[in-house]
Amino acid sequence: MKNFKHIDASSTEEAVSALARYGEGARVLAGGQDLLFRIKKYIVNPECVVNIKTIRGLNFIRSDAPEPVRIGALATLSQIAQSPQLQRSHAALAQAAGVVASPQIRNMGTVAGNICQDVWCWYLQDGFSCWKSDGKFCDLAAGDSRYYGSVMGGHLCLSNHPSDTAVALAALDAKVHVVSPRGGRVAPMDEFLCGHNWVGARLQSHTLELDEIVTEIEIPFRPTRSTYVKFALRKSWDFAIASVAVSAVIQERVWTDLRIVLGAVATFPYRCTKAEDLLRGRPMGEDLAIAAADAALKRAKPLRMNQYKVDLSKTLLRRALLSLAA
Amino acid sequence: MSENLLTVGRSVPPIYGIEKATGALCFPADVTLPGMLWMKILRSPHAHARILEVDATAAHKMKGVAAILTHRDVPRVLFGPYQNEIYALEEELRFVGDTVAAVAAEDWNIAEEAVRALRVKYEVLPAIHDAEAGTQSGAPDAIVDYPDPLSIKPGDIRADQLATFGNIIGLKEGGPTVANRRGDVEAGFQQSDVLVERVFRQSEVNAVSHEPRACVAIYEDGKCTLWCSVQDPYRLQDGAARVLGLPMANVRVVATNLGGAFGVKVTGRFAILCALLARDTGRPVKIWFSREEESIDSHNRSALTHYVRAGAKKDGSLTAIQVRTFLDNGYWPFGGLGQNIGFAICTRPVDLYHRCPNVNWEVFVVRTNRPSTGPYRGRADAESHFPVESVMDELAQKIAMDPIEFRLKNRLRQGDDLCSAPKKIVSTVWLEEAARSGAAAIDWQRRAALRASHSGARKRGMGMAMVIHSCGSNPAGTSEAEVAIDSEGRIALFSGTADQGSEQQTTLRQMVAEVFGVALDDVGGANADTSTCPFDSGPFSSRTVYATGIAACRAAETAKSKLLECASLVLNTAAKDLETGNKFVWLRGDRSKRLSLRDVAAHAGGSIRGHGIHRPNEDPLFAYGFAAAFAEVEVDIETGEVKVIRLVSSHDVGRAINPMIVEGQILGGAAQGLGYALTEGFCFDQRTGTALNQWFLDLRTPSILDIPDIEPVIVELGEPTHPFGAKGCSEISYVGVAPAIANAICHATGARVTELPMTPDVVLKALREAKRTGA
Repeated sequence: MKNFKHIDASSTEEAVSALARYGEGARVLAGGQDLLFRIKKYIVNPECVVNIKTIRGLNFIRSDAPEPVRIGALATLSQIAQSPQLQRSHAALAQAAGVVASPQIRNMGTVAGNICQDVWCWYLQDGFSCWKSDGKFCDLAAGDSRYYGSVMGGHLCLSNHPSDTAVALAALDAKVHVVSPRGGRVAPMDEFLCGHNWVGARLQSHTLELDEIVTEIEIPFRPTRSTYVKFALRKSWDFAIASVAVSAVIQERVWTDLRIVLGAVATFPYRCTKAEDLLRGRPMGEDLAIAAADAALKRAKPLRMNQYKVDLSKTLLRRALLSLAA
Repeated sequence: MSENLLTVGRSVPPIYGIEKATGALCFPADVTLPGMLWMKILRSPHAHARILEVDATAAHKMKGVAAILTHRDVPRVLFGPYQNEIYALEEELRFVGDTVAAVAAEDWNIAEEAVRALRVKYEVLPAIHDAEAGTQSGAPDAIVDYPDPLSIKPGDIRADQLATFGNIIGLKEGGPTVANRRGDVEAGFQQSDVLVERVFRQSEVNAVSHEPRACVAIYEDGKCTLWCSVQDPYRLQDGAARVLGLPMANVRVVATNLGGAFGVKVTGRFAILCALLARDTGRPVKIWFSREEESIDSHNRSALTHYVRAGAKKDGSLTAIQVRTFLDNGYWPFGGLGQNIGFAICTRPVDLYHRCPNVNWEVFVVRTNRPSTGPYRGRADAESHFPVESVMDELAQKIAMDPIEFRLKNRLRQGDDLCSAPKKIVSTVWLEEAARSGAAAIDWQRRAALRASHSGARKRGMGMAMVIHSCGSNPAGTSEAEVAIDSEGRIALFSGTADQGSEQQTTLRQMVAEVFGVALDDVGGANADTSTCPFDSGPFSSRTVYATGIAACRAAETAKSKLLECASLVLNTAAKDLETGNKFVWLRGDRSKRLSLRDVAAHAGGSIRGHGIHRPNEDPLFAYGFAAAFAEVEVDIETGEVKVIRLVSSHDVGRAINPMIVEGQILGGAAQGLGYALTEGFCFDQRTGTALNQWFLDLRTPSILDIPDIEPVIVELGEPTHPFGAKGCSEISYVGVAPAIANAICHATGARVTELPMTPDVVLKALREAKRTGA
């Protein structure tokens, strides 16, 4: 790897001012499980790494119903998966955090790092010229898209967003708190993750500006039931081929306030509002679940090798809906 | 076999067990020396290219760079693992990842930076990315440059092994590389009542050794020492001596313990370049492959396509087997290896179904611009059993016969001649016993009811496969061993064979201990150090317990007879009346008349030594290992997920010298075979030939959560050609897993999966196909 400057930030102010100073040359380290791999393999070559794990007090999980749950950016995936409170009130998130990669990675990886991770793409990692390196091409369109390619189209890069927790957070209507030297802002998940987008010369998988960091994630407290289902080739240390998060308020079999989000099928957690509309206010049943699953994947545009993910996602969604209703 | 054995047959803990569990054991990758430089390799970005120019100016100027080797800087001397077939560096590059140049620098990172600073001009050549495409007329040559025939010496690669016709390795234009023919297959198909015709495709897989290849070299006063992860230290000793221009006596290779090897960790460029850099810099040099390097610069199990036709009569007798196999040999510029594997592919399964009168099996071994392929655990048989055992299952199903009975009806029997070993006959075949024991363990009786019991999208099924595999008999190599009793009366075994994780040193020492009637702890030793241990061609083909075991027993017997001879002089009795036990030599029938081993050695005036050797082809009887694999699966027909509920792996091992180690080998092989069946397989970019999923995550070896309950079953009915009746068994459990699972999937769903790995997309495709054809 290239040598780089390493800054242990002791406060968010120090972190964002360092980021502002180094601009495109800087990268944030919030756990390092994604970033260090990329540095070692020359996928990214930062001039400066800003370590925010040294900022104290950012690893909290605060739950004070009916106030929103607040999770610090540096809460580890293990912390979230093992939180009895989250397991009760926001099951989808605890479940998603609990199936990320392996126990070792969950112990090191943080929630902010997990939603800000970059794509897992063979072409990018194998040194093919692409939108995320220095080129103007995406090999997934005609190449091997069987596991990591979008089935919902995409802009420039066709790699799907790999995060498990982002899918659950989107289904739970989470908001991301962000700070920069200019102050703070709050972004809903569908704004925070909306596909690959340019920030300077970088094609990013999230919408943080170069001098911004995530400080916390806020999840509304509602009497919802939620679930996250991950389908992967292995039961440990693997990315999803397809995943589903569903949350809903279910009273007397009638679903209201529901959110359906698919993972590993698009360049961002893919919210299925058409399917939600179909289900809202109606009692769940097999036929309705099938109709909702069809509606959710209606706009699918699979690539050459990932057609099967369309049916797979429909099956996962139908099962998730029925299991949540049960 | 005597009944009262002290240590043979007992599950004593492996001698390196504690050190391995605590991390104390030293592997080649752990070796670190003062003043050591790190070596890195520049790898080819092209599948096929010629180096026009290497500009190392910038790299040389970098602080901390000690030496750089390009193809112009290395001796033009052939060396290699199989014969002498490669040069340390070459102008022609033959796959994405081929070795372009090497750098030694003060640390790993500087070496890597320097490698990236090398400026290389390539002439890109047309490449072959697919074995079948490579056989088409007009296809470009995967390899252009061959060693100059005039420079080839006896013992090097042979001219006939270089020959290819349209990239097909072989001696005859238009013909297959090897063929196994008997009878008349067309007549056989005419006689058959049922016929199966299928195409099978298997992906290339990596052995995923826990320790990626490592080598540390020192060069001082014209002597070179290498600590290296290779299974063939004597081969490396010879190769390094050739390239360095040293007498072999001046090269020492140590490969005592390896972090996995699986047949593929053999002499390679990495080690020779490491030695050259140590010589050029005068400092210790270390290379340790990254996981990605280990993925591609190894010898993988080849990608294969098999076109299969097979017929049987209603009474269950096989009438004909016809197969055309295309084997992706990769770039390796040598035909002998591909020829050997091709030969075993088209003969071993035919021996297993010896009663089939008509066979025509052609193997086309095709050079491509892909990573090298070679002998990985279950060599040739994992390649061939998936199609054969799938087809056997389908034939049995078509004539409504139990798949076990169908196979047994056609199987090899004791005393049959072997097409896989011409002029030899098979000694013991405990195949039926293995199959019946395995069937009992999985409760095969449940099979019929299992299918009726499932509901919803998850379907249960049970399948099995039978397996033949080498067990060390008649190996292509020689094993020597030395047993010494030192002046303190301590016994030691010196063996040239590396212990790559299958705990062979424990097993070998158990056998030596048994010869002397002492406990395992009383036998020490050293292994795989060319300066102290006699030659062994290495732990390949499950040969150690068998071939090295025979050598070790012979060495022990020789030492023992010298010991008794010496003791007889002191005790004034005939040597034949003496026996050993409990570190004494005593009179048979009167143990009070005795001498300690130490006293005997003292009388001998020093150590007592015995040498033993086992040579290939020394026995007209040929031993094979046999196994039956059973799988119970649950298939989700909506997602394509295959959940393996249970595996039973039943083995004819002759005799288990150490049942715990045997079980460990069976479990490990079955788990690795599970990866071959369900998740592992290289995906190559069709445009560039890059192994896309070379990343550790994407190699997808099963995690502990993916490995089902595996029950090893050990059948011990002996083997007369081995002193303790043992057969090697470290590879065979890999082989049957994939076909057993495929057969279980078919039993559960009616869908025949013909591709490996059987990932969800592949299973869903087979389910659609079954639905379409109404199966």
